[in-house]
Amino acid sequence: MYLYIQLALTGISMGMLYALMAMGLILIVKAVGVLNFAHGQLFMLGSYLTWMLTYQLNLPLWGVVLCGIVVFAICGAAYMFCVYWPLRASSWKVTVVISTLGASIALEELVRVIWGSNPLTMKPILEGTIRIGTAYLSYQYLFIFLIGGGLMAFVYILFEKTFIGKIMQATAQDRYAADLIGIPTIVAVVCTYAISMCLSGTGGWLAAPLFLVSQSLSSFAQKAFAGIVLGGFGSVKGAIVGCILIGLIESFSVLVTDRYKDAIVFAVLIIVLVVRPTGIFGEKIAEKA
Amino acid sequence: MKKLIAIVLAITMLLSLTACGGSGDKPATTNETPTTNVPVDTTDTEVGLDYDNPVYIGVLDAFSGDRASNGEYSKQGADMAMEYINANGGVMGRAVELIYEDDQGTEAACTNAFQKIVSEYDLAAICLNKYSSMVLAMEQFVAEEGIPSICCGSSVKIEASETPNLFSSRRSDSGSGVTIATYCKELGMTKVAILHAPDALGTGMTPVILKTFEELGGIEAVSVQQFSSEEKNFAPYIAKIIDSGCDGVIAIAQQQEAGLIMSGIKESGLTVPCIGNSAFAQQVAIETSGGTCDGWYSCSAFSPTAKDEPTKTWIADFEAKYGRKPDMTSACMYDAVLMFCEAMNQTQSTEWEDIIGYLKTLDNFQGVGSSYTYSGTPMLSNSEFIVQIKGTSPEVVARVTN
Repeated sequence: MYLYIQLALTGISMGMLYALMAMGLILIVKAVGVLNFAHGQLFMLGSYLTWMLTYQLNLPLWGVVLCGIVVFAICGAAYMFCVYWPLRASSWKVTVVISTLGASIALEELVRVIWGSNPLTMKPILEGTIRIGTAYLSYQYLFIFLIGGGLMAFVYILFEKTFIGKIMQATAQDRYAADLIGIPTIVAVVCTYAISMCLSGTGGWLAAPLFLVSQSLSSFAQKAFAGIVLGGFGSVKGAIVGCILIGLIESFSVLVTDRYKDAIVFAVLIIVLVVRPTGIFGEKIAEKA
Repeated sequence: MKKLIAIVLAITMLLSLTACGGSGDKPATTNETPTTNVPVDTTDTEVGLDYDNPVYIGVLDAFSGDRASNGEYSKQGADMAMEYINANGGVMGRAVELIYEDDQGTEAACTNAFQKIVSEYDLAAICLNKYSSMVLAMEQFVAEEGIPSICCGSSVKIEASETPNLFSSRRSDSGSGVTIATYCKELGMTKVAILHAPDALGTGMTPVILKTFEELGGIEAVSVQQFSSEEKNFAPYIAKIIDSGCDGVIAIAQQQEAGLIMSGIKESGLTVPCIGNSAFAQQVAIETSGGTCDGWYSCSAFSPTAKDEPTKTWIADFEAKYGRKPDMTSACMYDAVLMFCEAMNQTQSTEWEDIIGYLKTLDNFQGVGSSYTYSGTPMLSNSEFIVQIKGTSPEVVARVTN
């Protein structure tokens, strides 16, 4: 019994982390129509930046949060101007995608040059665990639930309920038309990248105490991509549900097989896509469009 | 605009290529930085040595990628060996120069890196990294080239290798597996949960442990799990370990995973005795465990708290030079370079056949990690330690010899 509770807790927690990354990805896709293959590296960069704020600049927690948001936003904007903006008008649309692939490698090496190749440790926001029988959950996961949940609500409201969100979506759908009706598209795109980096950076910050500050944190992006596809590409709600499902499948798959855990995750993904190619929320998006 | 796109693309591709760690420099000459990735400090030159005609020894390790931290330790060990040799007359009066090549810590990149370094430089010998899967991936090329090669891998497949020019400065996983299983019995374990890596290390050592359990009797494996490649989340595996009702845990992993496993088990509240392979007592694992490694046992090829000479002095020198304790890979790489130089000095030759021939006559050659004897297999080391981590310091409990 406790085994199942433990697996459920772990699965949902991991799903929340994937969802944080996935939301950032979806934002960029919705705003500029580009799949960012360096998103895992932005997640990783977030962990290094918060490590720097915490241990190199010795800021208190509130300082890390405030400075973190500013630093993430600046990094997101800088990333946009380096990787997306110069190539936005390219006639070959894949150019930007290739640029993000190059950026993913460059970011990993940049981090290695600055902070070295040894993984770094970071203390959790609050040490300790909650126990239910033999099942346990680190307080850090509670922060992931709380902060992740809050950010998810923020993104949903931003895109679905606010004027700024509509501007971002309008820019994504037709930048030329958006320009014609007076939408400052560059501001919309910069804001999108800044918010996206804030989400991923926060995810990196929350994941770091559990999984170390290291370049390999970027590997979480694979599961986030899977979650996005499972949930229905382009849907924030779908990405969240998809990622939590991926986390649960990954966690419970050890009951069936330990060595092919990842294979099971992607096998389920393939099956879902065969049965329902648009993903779980894909149809609703289509209807809405 | 097209120009701008072209420039940005060019910069992006350049960054990508740089990041890939490839090196396209010409062969090094004396006192030049020999290769692109890791500079070599050649400032402490010994007067009287022939620096115009150095003896090149290749060092292939991960200097980028997730395993670069191990590469740093390897490089520091190899550099110390080079400085020691050059300060003591070099090889036949010639300076020794190390040529580093980045294998990026992956099977895909290491074979290219091996072929590149061997084709570009006139190497007398080559030191390979500690990852058995990678060594096995390179084995075919090592055999084809015929260059004397000492790796730090310990897989049972390396032990069974019939490549005549491939050696290892480690004891084999089969030996370590027997040591771990036997020590589990000594610790009073009867129901053991095993969590192991999916690589050659984990899949090679686990069957040996299980077989030894059968031979010993009175001890059984109640759970055997293989975690996924590049795993970070060990909570589901640990949940199954707890569910198995075990009274002891054996974990076999590389260093980063080792740190995460130790912190995961501590967080789970599991208080049974735990023992791991060599990686669990290495500095990277101890540092990344965040202090949760206290109490863990490890069957280790090297202990930074060893009190025997010359190891103790070497550890002190290493710490004075680099400001940190050496790792197993530092010691293995140091000893590998020393063995090559000894072979060349003893045979007064840099011919590959002569070096290989000498290595096959090694008998109790004293290194800093172990003493080395050729006994018919590539595995030259004939000893290892059982250590227990106290705080963050692996203290030697016993020394096991062949």
